[in-house]
Amino acid sequence: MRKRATHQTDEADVNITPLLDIVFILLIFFIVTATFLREKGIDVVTPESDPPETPDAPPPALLLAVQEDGFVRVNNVRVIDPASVKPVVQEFIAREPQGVVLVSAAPDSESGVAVRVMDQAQDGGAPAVSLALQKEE
Amino acid sequence: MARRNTFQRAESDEDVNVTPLLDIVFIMLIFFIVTSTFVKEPGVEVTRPEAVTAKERKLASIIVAISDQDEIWINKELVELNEVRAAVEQLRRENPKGTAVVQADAKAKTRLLVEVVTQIRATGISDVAVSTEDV
Repeated sequence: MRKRATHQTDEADVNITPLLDIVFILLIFFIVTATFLREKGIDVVTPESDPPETPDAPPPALLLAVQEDGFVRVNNVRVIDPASVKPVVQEFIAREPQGVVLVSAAPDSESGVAVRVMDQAQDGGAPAVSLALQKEE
Repeated sequence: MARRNTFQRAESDEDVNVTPLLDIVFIMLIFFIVTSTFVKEPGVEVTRPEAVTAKERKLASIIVAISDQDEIWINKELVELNEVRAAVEQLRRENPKGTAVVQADAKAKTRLLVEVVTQIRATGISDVAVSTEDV
């Protein structure tokens, strides 16, 4: 009788093996489902999301129209390659530091060209670049 | 005799002390619980346009993909343009703090990109980006 009592107090510490099993299973589940996805991207500002502009003082704007064929028309005057947008924007920002750059893409143009033009404009130092669609005729 | 007694005592608690192991496992468990965001991947692979001014998007949990076939994919499902808003709102309920990223294929039409961004913005998400790749 006395021997049995001592035996029970000997094993009085809690058996944590099932707890450890569950914790390991949870750990493995969270390790497996963890997706550390790294997305890089550029902000897209559409004109609708802008606060309404004050009509009395419209800021000077540079219009970059992305055509369906992948070329860019600057201020409806000349047509350039998307790769040479950056110097044009740099020159515009140097002239008009408060200026805004508008990228107006043809609806059927490739979005990669529009994104590239926006990237080039931001690289050229434009503080605000917004993307809009050209009106369909 | 006395020496043998000490030897026996050392043998009696020879079972490994698992407390430090348990501590580390719990810390790892809490780390993974806290960092896990269950991102619903769109399920299509797109060719992203290249950009140099791209910034890392933190907490990007709402991902909309536009394939080169001009199909919109959200959460491994093909959705129509007018269903984008409802699908994004549903994703947003599950993860209210997340920002949105549009994975537009470089060959997709700009019309779709602008309209998808407009629809995402209509749900109240102000932070919308186009996914790009480093040059």
